[in-house]
Amino acid sequence: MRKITLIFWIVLTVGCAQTADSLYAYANRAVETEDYVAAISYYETILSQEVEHPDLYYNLGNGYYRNGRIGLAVWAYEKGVKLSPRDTDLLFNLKLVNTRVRDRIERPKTIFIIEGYHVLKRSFTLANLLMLGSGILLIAAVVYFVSTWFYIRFRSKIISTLIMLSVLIHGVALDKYWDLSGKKEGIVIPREIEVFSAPYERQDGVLFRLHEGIKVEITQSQPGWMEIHLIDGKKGWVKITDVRPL
Amino acid sequence: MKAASVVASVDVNRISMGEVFTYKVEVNGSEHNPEVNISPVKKIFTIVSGPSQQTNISWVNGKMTSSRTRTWSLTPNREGKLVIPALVVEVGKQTFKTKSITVYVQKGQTQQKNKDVFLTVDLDKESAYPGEQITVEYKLYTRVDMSIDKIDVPKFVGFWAEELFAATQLNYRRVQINGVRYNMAKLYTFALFPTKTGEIPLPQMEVKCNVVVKQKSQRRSFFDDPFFTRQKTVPKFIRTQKKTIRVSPFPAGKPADFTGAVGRYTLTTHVDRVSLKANDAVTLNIELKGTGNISLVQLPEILFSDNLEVFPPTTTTEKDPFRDQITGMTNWEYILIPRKTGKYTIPRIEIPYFDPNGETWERAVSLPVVLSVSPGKTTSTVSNGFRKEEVELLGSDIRYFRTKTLRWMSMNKSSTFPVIAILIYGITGILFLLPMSLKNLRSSREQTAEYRRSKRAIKLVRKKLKTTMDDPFTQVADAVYPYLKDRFLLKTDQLDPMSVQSILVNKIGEIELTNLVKILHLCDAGRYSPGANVAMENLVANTKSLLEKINTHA
Repeated sequence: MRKITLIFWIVLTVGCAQTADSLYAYANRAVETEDYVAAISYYETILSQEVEHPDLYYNLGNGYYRNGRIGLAVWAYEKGVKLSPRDTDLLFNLKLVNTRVRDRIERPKTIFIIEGYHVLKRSFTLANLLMLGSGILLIAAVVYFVSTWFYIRFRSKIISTLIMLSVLIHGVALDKYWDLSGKKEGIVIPREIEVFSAPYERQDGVLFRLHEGIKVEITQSQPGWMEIHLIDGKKGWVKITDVRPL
Repeated sequence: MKAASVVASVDVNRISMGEVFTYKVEVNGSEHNPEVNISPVKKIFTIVSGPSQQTNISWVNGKMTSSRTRTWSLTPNREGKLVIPALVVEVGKQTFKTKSITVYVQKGQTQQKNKDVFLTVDLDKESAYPGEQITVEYKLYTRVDMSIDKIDVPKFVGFWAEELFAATQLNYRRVQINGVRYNMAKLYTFALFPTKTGEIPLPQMEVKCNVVVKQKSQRRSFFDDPFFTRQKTVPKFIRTQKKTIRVSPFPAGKPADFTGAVGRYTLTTHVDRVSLKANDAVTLNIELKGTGNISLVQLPEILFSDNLEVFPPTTTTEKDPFRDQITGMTNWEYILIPRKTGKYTIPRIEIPYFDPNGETWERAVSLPVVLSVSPGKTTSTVSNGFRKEEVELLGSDIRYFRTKTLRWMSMNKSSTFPVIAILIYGITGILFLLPMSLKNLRSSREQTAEYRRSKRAIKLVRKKLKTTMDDPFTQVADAVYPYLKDRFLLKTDQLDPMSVQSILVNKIGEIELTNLVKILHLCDAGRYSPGANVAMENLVANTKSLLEKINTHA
């Protein structure tokens, strides 16, 4: 089996000029014959060509899940959700895979409104928010434009409400932008990893252990090591190969 | 230099199987070490150790004698009269041949009782049923100093073996066998459970040990002192005697659900609580206690209700280590979560077993357990760290792959600003700015309208003065005043000669202004006092030329 995978890789690296479309078609054929290892290698080759699509991440996640690689499956689904945050299939599969993740770290409880704000922020991409904000601004502009010729009732009220709404949405977009540019996240890939108190591998420096599929925030990195932050506040250093950044 | 000589020798040539003897090749009078090709010996003998090398150099009366020796420890591979063949020995550049040596090998293990070191194996029974325990004990007897080098624990083919005792150090006890005193140490005790029927040979255990042999010193020397008593350790292989176990098949009446339990067992079940709420977890413990092949007993499949969620059991086996008969307890722990309210009955569990003592078939039976489940407080009860929706998800599978062709997004672009948003911002800006610029446009257009009016003014004058009217004074006044108003963009409608003079004082030339005012006075006089008929024919022409002049100069 491993040999077959190796041959696949060689074939793929030789035929690197292959287009993403043909690779995707090969991968789908491999899925039909339940050869998930081959399908995964095709999908990853497409990703190495610097193109992406939510469906690609969705299929990649499915392939990893079928192969028993929970960590990589979570990684792929999270990537997909980033691109397409309201895709129900993606969200369902991500939720399902998360039940197989061994570590259960609960997010500290916050106020209802803030929780709702987080949900709002999570369920729209930056592009979505910008489109929405600019769209509302456009409506306001149209109303103003038309009102120069025709009488419109509550003209100024309508325009000021729309502008306020647009500013709010742009505020959310700005927050989201700061999140995206400032915050780096990653998923734990190996079955079990050790988290150290400092960037050296010493047995007495092991703070705690994490299992595949858990999401961590990457706060800083050094050659070979990165510092991670869990949502419940725990911190530590892991080897750079243990966490795949989102 | 003295010619070298080569001698081969053995320390004993009458041995029994399993014993070790020393084979020695000695070279006298050479400064080189002998090179011996030992390979012909390997066919008949096994090399236990060696070669070891020894060099003796002595000076007697200024003369040096040296002897170099190579020594091997050999053990025979078969019985009978064995011949160590003549070997080729190379010393320096010379080649020698040794003499062949004959060794007589007797049958081993025959007179074990007379031996210094031997092994025994004791069985508690020679025949058994499959799954019945046979206790096997290995003992070492010795009457000399010895140490154990290596123990080959046999692989018990045809048995399930459990180690009951393994010696970490040798604890000797004094025993007498036929009047001879021995030190006896227990090495191993195994519990064997036959897995098939028939005559099963018990494999032999082999121990390699180093036996200390006191050597008589050949000559008196400085070292021949009790403190330096010459002792030698000799490696030796000892084996247990061969034994077979007869395993007879089970008697008739084997139950259909028999899974291999042999011994004597009792089965109990208990739950940590009998009344609980829906979605709460309950622990079911099934305990099998007894004597026999307890690690091999399998739990029969239990038929649980469909509304009970059953998590796979954890199995723990505890054994009582202080008995020769394997006794212990196996515990299967199930976690059950009833999903609906009502009464649940966990059926009684039966494990059939064979009692080898009474040679009868028995059944270990547990009592059924009844759980009563009342409605839970909330439906989203947390159980085992899973939320309710997660528990629901546990049973389901991921949604299937998507295969429709995709429009690929470049990784760099997709995260940056969307192009359409920029477009929308542009349109918005235009829509906000357009009405303002329209206003400006209109006002500027108004300005050009006035400009055109002033340009058009002279044309109007020409038109008005072309026609001949009855009253030239009124005609001229009607042409001049609107002209002035249009041409100089005056707002007022009440113009008279005086106001015209004051308004236009710096806008047109002085002569023209006085002429204009004169004409206007004339017109007023002509209009309001009909008697004066002065220069009437020239008035229109004069006015026309004057206004043309004003129009170009102003």
